[in-house]
Amino acid sequence: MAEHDDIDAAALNGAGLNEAALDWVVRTGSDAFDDWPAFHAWLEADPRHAAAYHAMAMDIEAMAAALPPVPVAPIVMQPPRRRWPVWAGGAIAASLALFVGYEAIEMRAHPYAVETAAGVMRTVRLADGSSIAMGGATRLMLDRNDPRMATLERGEAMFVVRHDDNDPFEVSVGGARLVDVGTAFDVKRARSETRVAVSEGAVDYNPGRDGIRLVKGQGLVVRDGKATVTAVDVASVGSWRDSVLAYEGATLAEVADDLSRALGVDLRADPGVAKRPFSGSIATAKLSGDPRLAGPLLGVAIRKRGGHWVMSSRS
Amino acid sequence: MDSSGLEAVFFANRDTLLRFIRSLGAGDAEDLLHELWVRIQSAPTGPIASPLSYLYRMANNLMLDRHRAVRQAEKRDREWTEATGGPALDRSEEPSAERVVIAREQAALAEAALQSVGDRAARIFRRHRIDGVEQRVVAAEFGVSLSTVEGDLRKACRAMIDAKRRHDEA
Repeated sequence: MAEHDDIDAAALNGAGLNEAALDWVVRTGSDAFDDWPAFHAWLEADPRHAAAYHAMAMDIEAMAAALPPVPVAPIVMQPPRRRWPVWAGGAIAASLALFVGYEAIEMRAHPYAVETAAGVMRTVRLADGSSIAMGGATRLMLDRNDPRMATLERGEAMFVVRHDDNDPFEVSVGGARLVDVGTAFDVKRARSETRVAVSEGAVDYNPGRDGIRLVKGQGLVVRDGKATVTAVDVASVGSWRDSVLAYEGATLAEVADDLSRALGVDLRADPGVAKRPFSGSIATAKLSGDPRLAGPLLGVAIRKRGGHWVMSSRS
Repeated sequence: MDSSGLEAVFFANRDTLLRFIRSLGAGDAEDLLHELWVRIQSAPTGPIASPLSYLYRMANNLMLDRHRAVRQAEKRDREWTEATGGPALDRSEEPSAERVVIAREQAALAEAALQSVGDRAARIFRRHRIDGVEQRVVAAEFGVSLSTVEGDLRKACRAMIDAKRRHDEA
């Protein structure tokens, strides 16, 4: 906090007051906070206390809202998996409920995680009628007390949401907010990039800050904090749900990543071919879980190396 | 507890809640108390472990909502003034292209302030404030105690507030 070089008592009081206000803002920011009588007593002690509390709360909100989205690596509880397990058809996705020593049931945030392994797809139906189709190796955080929000931590999900102007559906991804303006959009979060594609209606990206409205047929790529609007083929949006991966000038690195999630294998593109662009569709069901069969279509050699598969130049 | 149970707690603690709303600086505390009562009618039914705490929280949120609305109205007024070339409010002479630049500067300022507190505190701030994850869950995710999370949040908020207020004074 500010250095206490001043001997000005008012300034010192100011610093002390702001520190107390900050402490109350942080503590009341938790849904588990219950020391309201103490907060009340502090407020009654001096009318300046309430003013300092509200100024602090609003300033923090303003700064938080000003933050640019950053491709922060998602928080993983275990080291990143290097070996994708291959799941037989009908595998069950894990559904974790994150209760951490709660005795009371919180009325606001009541988060739980839904996760799929690579090679698996799953659809989550929410209480409001919206649905989220999840691809492989995908992790979502949802909230039992708020069916109108989801966080995509990694992977790919297609959101088909019930539109409601009074209570818009929100997706949090890579520190950014997507707000539904109705009704269907795909979100992918992988390799520190976020990709959004809208097939129906519109979606607002970070409304209010670098707010960008994306309409049907538009997409967005966020890389290194920079967001670029792109055009997408509406019919291809979310085609992975039918086991078709469709690309228009995507890098082989991205294709390798998507194939890994779809097939349940660990496929990577070596540096020699990683940036090569690819346009076309891959019917992943036809590959029967064998990534080598995608080689001819992609114009690369696909070989096993150590514990994983690698795409490399044919020559 | 259904809404009638919550109402019972409301009526039993009506005076306390009224004093609380007043202590938050509301000139029309009775009206806000009534607003609180109206909101209780449409509160989601389901178990509420601490109904009084719940009511305090709703009252606190009402006042926060009100302050937020005031800030947003001021911001809209400034922008309207700029657009119509009306009388200058504080620094409202910038054209809208400059407003975009200002927004980018604010983003850079916020980002720099957050990064200055270190990686864990910055990530904890984002997790709680932007992703909206509850503090105890954040503590579990990071494998630290709740008081560590509170400390990191204070650290991050302090840096961002200092940066904002220094900038606003300039």
